[in-house]
Amino acid sequence: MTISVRRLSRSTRPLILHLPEESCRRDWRSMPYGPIACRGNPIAFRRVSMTSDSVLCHGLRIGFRANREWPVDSVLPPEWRPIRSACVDFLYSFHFGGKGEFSAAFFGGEEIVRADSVSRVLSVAASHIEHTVAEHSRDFVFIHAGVISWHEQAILFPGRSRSGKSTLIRELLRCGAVYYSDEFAVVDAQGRVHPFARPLSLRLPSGTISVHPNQIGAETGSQGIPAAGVIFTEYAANGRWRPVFLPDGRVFLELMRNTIAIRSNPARCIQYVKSLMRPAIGMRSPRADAGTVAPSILRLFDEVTSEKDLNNGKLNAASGSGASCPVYGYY
Amino acid sequence: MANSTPPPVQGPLARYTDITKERLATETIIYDHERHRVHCLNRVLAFVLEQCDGHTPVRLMAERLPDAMKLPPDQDIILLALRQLNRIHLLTGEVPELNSNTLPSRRELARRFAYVGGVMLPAVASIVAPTPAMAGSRDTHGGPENGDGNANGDGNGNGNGNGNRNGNGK
Repeated sequence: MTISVRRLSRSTRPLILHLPEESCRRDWRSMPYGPIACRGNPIAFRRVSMTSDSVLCHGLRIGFRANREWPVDSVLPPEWRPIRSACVDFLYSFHFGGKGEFSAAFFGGEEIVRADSVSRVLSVAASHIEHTVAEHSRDFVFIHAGVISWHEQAILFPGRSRSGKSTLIRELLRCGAVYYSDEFAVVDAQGRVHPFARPLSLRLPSGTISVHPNQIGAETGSQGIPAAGVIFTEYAANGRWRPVFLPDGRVFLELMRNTIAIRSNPARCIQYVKSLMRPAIGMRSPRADAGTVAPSILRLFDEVTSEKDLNNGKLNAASGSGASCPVYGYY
Repeated sequence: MANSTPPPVQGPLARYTDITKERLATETIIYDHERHRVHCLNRVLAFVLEQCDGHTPVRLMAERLPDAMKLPPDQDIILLALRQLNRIHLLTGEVPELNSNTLPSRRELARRFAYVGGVMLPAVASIVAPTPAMAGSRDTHGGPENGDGNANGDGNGNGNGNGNRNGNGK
């Protein structure tokens, strides 16, 4: 998708900066554009003329405007579609400078990045948009976690950045799992997990690379699925994969720890996470190399699934799926 | 004309404002909107919280323990629970019984009631609700785990464990 720009005359009136609240109430596309002072430097925003200048992304309407043509999909998270909306929830503005000039991105009336490099501006803006969607989505609750699908059930791996989440997801995909996300579990009101299938972001000594699931022969999920399990695992040099079940309360707390919008909308987050947990089990274990532990995880869930089938519902965590999963006691 | 004066408070009173409560299978989750903390109360502690209606004295709460929780009718269990609830700001007003210097420690109770199992003693685990940036980056937050209901992280990786961690009854 490309946003094109209609050239305006130099006599354009000064711009009034538009805050997100204002853009919700008014037709933002008809707002006046013009030169504004930004840290002392004038920036010209001009009317975006194409019809597909706003998108719907996880229930949020986001408007974009810029001073020249640019590929808006380069900053958008997965799962969006263009819409024609007179009102948007959030408005992003981009100023792309010419050679030797700076570029900048704005969120409402607030500058979020200014740099000489356009790619730097787009990268920061993309991250900002991703977090805006994660925090304010109306339809979903976002949990910071890697997600795969196994037998059409989701397995979540909440964890810190740099804890080896994406590496583990990659190894699970190599074992035949279906890719959902390496960043966010997107949970709906029924507790189903939806894909947030941006390319895997893998950190190497030489830097971060993006790997599309197709490149490792994995499929990408396309619909919401119930959760089978939540695994808290982190790479440790001498880590040994010995999963222990967690009580529901502890799993709940750990998921809350990774829920993006818990402060802004706790009641909704708690309801969604409760729905997510209803069919799921939680476990924790350190792990060594992702390549060796990935088959064990999938094998464990094979056993769990068969036991759940026998019990006609949720697995009794106290019984576990065998001696390898003793009860986790924290009181 | 009916007397509209509320009955005098005779027992501990739970806080009902600025919290969100959700009951799980065996635990109760409480979100404190004022302090942005999430508490996970075990069954016994949740039971005591439910009894804190302002009209139920500690003695009566203890008498209900055998039927409701299959625990001995010991007031010290209730006092331990009230102390924990008070510490995480889920009680309003003063609880005179908690001012006593002879309150039992969790360790003492665990020893005394070892035969019913330490897991049946009141317990709470708490975390600081992360800000969006903290939850998203995951590099800078994470309070400590706690087993006694009074260790709270400040969200920056700095734990403020101000209580003992020795009460697991094991």
